[in-house]
Amino acid sequence: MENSNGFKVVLLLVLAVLIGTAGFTSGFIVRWISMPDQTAVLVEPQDTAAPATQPATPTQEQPTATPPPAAGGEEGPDLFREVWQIIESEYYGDLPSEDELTYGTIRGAVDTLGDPYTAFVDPQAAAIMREDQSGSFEGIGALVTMEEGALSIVSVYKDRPAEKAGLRSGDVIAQVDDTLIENMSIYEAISLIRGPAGTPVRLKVYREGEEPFEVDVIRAKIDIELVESKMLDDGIGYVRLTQFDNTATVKLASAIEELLAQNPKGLILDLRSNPGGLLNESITTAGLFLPRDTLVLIERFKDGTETPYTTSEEPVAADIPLVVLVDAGSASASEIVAGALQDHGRAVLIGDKTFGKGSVQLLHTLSNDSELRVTIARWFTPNDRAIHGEGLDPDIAVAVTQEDIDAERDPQLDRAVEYLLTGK
Amino acid sequence: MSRTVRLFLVATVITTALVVAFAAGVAMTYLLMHDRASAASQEHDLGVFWEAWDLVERVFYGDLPDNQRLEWGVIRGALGTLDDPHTSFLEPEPRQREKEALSGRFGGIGAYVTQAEDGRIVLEPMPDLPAERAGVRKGDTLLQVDDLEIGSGMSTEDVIARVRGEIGTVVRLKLLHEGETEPVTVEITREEIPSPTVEWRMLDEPAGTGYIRLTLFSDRTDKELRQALDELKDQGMTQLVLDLRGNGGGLRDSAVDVAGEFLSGGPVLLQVEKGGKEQTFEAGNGGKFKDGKLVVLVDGGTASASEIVAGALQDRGRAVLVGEQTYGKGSVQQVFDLSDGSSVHITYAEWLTPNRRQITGVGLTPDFEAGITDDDRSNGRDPQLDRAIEWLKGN
Repeated sequence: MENSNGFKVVLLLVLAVLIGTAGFTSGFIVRWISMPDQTAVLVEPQDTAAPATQPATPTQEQPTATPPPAAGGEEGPDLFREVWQIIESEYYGDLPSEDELTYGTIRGAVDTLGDPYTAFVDPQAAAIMREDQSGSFEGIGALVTMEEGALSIVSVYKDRPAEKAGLRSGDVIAQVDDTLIENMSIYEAISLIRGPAGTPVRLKVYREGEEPFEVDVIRAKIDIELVESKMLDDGIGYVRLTQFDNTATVKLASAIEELLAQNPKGLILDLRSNPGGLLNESITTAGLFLPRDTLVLIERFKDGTETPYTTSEEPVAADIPLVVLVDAGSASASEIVAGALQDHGRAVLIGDKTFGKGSVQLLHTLSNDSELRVTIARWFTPNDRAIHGEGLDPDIAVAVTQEDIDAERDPQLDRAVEYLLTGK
Repeated sequence: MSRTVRLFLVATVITTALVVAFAAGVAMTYLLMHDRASAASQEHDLGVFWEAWDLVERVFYGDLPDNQRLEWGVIRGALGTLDDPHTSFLEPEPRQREKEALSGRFGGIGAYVTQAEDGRIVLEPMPDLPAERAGVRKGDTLLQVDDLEIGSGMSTEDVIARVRGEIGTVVRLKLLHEGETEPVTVEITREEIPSPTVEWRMLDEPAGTGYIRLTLFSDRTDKELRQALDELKDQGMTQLVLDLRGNGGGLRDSAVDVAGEFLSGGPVLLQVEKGGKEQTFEAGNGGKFKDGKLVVLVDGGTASASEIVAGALQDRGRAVLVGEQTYGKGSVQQVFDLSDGSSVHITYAEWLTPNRRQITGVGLTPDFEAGITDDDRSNGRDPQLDRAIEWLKGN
């Protein structure tokens, strides 16, 4: 779309991110999301005061020619300039470079949109992120989100550095080494946490009901088996997909075919803690279970145009009873698959409410090699349910408690087996 | 008082802002700035800003902010590049609350506003103030303020902002008295409501020991302090505990005046501005309590203007500090009111104690360390005050 204007635009099909895991797969960015339920603890009170003005409703004829006030436009008070002139004459301390000032104004403007996925990334952080995309990278093995300036952990991967260091879901990361996670985009925050395997990163963490604490986490290469499958004792086939990289559907299909060869009574597809990945893989994965030419997803843009995505192959598992396990870490591409299977009545969802990330970002490289990521579209399930901000409610809600985790119990999986064996 | 936070119609919410807002008490007008601005006329190349924002306007899926919000956002972002948490932007409403707190008075009706556990906004009038005179009763549920219905999502802060206003203007409240079903509407003329920043009493022991707590350094704090000192002296006070715990600061000049009550002239602080210009702020000679024994209680919430007072009294050998390491805010902000009612707080100077100690990020170390636990608090114990009393007894 923007290419026609000569912008250097990379279209991204962005899904979720894993910090420190294979969140980036060759050239594709896998990124973050918003969790409406996570409350912000770190926001300064004066910043939360709602101005007594109504937000403008955007229309097709949004007057882009009208210079917003910061432009130093022709008329009216120019508050920004007013303020900055005072700063230049009065401020006790060093002033930022012109570039930093510009980045600050962009960050401030983008923050007013209230969308954590629309973010500015300065050239330095952008360079680090490009490096990340070019190969495997190392991190702490945690899934994070950013809401109102607070970076919080959605889930940690078993036996990975974050979990070993005692971090858990709900923890808010306030500081990474010497840098406060304030006025920072999720992309920049993540680039600080990542680093070479074997190096430590010190995190300052806020946890509800406890004093803030610091913890050193040793980064590691996070390899997670993409597909894991087995026959359970009850004659139920189980397959887990950990993310949607460009081999996901192929590997998942062959695992399912092996399971089907053993005549299981039912099948469990585990998408828990699967933060997403490539849009196209989610469509083909849904196609393993749905008839050819079935609607999987509707993508809608600002101007009201929409793109439907449908399956294009014959399914490998069209009829076998199917349960999809989901939790708060099931995001993006996972929600596309789960939502489509739920809407078409093909599977029963068991577990927790899903994450609710269903937006698409455009990655735009600005003229000074900084990057702007802008949310340009949202996803809707075949029955036109919004994924973004809502998440999917499971048909059967089953929670996992900290005691279950400590005792290595999995009540969600147990419930799935029960459902497939009893039909209820 | 219930566990619900009780908000005095003043400005309770402001405390956090004040740690940030040790204002110099100078509010420059837009006009003044405007002259300077034209003289300095320097353009910033925000080309990349426009490149970014044009893109957002064209493709962003979601609502765009109006110009004012965008502009405020840009200013916040720009100030964020300074890496100084005390240089900050305040929108008009929080700025109004701050002004009221720092002036020590406001136009209001004289009632406590509380949010009940079921979300209702409940009033309790203060004696002999407009609300009580107009018939507001304790426990009344507030249903409407002028044309604004009180919705479930509203906080006490939102309500307070509507109830307060210019002295002499009228506010109309729709109320439901407790136990009744028909709401009543009352009209109340706002009056000047003082918001005291000083509490005082005589301690039980040792004999002749007074206790004064300052919660904020407003325009009126010194006046209230002088009254407190007079009353305590009338009750035979010869030695004093001055409690600055949890006091996040306020106005610098108020701190100078307060320190002056305990000193006979001499420096209270040295202010260093951009370019090294130095200015000494001295205590006056009319202090009310210049000789008796003095202990100052401090803790991690003792910041800014409080640290000016505690630092001066410590350096000058006038008091001992008891408690915990203080916050460590050694900068001075000036507040600039902007043309649309918002304002910026700008760090324009640093201050040093009379012995030239720089306290930013360090704080003041008490002469006698004493802690207090949550357990102490919930059981009504105050080991820090106990330690102060112990010192007074032993010296």
